[in-house]
Amino acid sequence: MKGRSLAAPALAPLERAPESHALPAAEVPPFGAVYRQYFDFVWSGARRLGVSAAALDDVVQEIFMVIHAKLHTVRQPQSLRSWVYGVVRRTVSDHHRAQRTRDASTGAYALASDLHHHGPPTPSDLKEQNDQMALLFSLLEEIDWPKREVFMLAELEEMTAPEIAEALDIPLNTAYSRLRAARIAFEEGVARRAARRERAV
Amino acid sequence: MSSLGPEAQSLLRAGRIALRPTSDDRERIAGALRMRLGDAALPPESHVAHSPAASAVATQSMTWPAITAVIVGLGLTGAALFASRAPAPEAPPVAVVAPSPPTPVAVAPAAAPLPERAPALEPPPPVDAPAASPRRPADRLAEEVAILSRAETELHAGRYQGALRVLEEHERKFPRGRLAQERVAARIRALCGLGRSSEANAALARLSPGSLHEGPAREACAASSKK
Repeated sequence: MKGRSLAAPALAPLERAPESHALPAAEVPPFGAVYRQYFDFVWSGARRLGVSAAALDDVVQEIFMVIHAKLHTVRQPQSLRSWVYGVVRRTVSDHHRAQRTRDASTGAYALASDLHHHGPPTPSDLKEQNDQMALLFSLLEEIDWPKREVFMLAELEEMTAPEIAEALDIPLNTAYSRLRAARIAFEEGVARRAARRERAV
Repeated sequence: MSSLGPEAQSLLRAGRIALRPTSDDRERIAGALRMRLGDAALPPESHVAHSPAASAVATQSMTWPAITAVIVGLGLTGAALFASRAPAPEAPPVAVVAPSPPTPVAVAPAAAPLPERAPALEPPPPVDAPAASPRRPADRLAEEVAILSRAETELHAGRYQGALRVLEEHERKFPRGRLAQERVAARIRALCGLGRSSEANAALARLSPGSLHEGPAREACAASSKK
């Protein structure tokens, strides 16, 4: 991790300890414990990274297969959530790449499927969900990917800034600056929507 | 740092709840993983100890060396069963993870020491082309895990030539497999065990720069040279 010595600005949501993910001891837990502790995190993380509902079972299984195979390489158990997110990120990226290859081989139009171009599900993917969720994801899509990823990890996954920096292998200050910019962009998007609603009334 | 307004916060609260899995999702995926990894890898909830102490002991149970230790701990009968099932090409991966009770965990080796620097996953090598096999990626990964678990068994038993043969099998089947780095690290340990240090050094150079496997491989080789 880079830049850990940089002073972190006061930031209440990111400064609190990740209570629900705290591990009892600084040892790598067994695979079963990792599965129970991180299943929700992996599932929702993969979904938010653009894995379709139809492919989600296979992708989540593969993520846990990789975790099982590589868990013994974890050297900092206190960073386990960051490590798990790294596995999610890479596996989803591989999935999108493979999907793109399959789509290309069948002549189908493939969306830019690399992870960096893959955002959360689009509003059309969320027909079954309420308007609030559609609005949320449309607002997220307006944010540049690097900032959006930090924002989603902070605000939706409730990861701490050091965890995010660790997971994305970026300096801590970069995590903070991306988050700051993303929050401004998100708030501006909310304000634009509100102004449109007012004009429409 | 900018703070978010009430509407933004409300949207994010909804977002945190959305896309969460159900208990059915959790159980369905757990069942599928047990089919691939065996019950020992993912024991049913009721069989798992939740105390920190038990967790600390169980912590060591799922590393590959520990899986090997569990298999060894079950004695010759288990090893013979394992050996008789593992070579079968169509054997499911479940065969390589002994359906062990929690007790053999005590024989598991200590966890590796913590390194000074933060962990970073090396970029996984490209997955073999789908055309190479009609199997699903998850099945291919399970087979990779199965083969490398056999190699770990050989290594743990000091059968370094056997380990090399198993690792060659992995390389033939999965030349650019997802666990290629693990294969190289295991090969280094086997070569060191055989005293073939120049080949081990050459193999070390094949590991990704900053690989997590480099340190443990070097340590294992250092330990081998002291024997």
